[in-house]
Amino acid sequence: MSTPATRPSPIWLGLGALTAALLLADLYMIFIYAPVELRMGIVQKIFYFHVPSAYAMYVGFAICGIASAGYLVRRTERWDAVAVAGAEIGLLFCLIVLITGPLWARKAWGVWWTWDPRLTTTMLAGMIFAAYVVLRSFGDAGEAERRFASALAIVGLFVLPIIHYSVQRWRGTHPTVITSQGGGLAPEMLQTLLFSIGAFTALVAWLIWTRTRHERTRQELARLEVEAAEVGLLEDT
Amino acid sequence: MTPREGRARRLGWLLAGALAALSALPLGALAQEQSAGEERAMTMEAATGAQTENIPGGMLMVVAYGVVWALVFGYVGWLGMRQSKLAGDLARLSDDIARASSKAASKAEPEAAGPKAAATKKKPKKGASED
Repeated sequence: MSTPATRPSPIWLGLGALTAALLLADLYMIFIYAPVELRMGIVQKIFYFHVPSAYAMYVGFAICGIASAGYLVRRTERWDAVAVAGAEIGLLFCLIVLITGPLWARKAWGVWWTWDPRLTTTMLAGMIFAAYVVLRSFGDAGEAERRFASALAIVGLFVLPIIHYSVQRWRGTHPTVITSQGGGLAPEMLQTLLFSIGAFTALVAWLIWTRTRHERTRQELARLEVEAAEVGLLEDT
Repeated sequence: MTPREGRARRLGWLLAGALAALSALPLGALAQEQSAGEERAMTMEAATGAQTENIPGGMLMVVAYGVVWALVFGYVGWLGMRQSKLAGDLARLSDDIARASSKAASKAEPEAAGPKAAATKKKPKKGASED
């Protein structure tokens, strides 16, 4: 039996199909359309997933921070579900960024990791939102845990602009490719990067929707468990 | 305003001030380092013709893409399994509650009508009215 909370909507299914198609087309763009880079060689192709993953991480964490503020103001379960989804999806993409980055760095810098401002601030954001996810995964969080986690997510939100501007303003080793002066990408590379960002936008939107739906189902189940206890169904548990 | 409320308000202002100061610190540092990003701006150029690499990056790239797909598909699969389990639990619990509620309602109905009516319902006499 499917309930309104568990029944998939046609728009959700459509977005999932569109995301899959865009990701397949993205692979064609990356491996067939975009040329191999002159100095870094084939490893530069990591760039087309690394940068959109960082963007998806920003989206996830920003949604978590904003929805957490919404939860603190409104105290509705809907805001809470969106915040949990944003944190988890943001953390997934943060993990991808922190794995693909060192794989590229091994070739480009000769080291797996360096305490560069961008790498360090990205790791810091990842740790803040990992703490949020851990805090929320201890069974059914009470009101106090939810409020504490929401405040933590808002603190995490302040780290995001620091990550973004750290590479432009502070001295470090992380490169900048798109700046107001100098740098730049070959036209096919820029088109591929923009296409990848588009595909990852669809992916992050679909994942956050899916995770929010899951969280709403879990909230509905928790509500029904209370109702079941009231009618004496869960007395032995 | 009670002294306690006053203290809470002062603490609130203090925390807000500390947060604003913490937020302003990186902004000050950003202002000092305006050109660092521009100085190390890099260019990515397309290679033409056959190229050789001094550090083979093919394996690093394969591992990177493998990790991305493994994480994304693994997460979606895990979410799908948890969602179907939750949906099953939800459906089962809804049915149980509906059954328990209707059982309780049918039990409460004769009791609400009074002990005589309940006795009548338990042992209906031949030709007796049910209302």
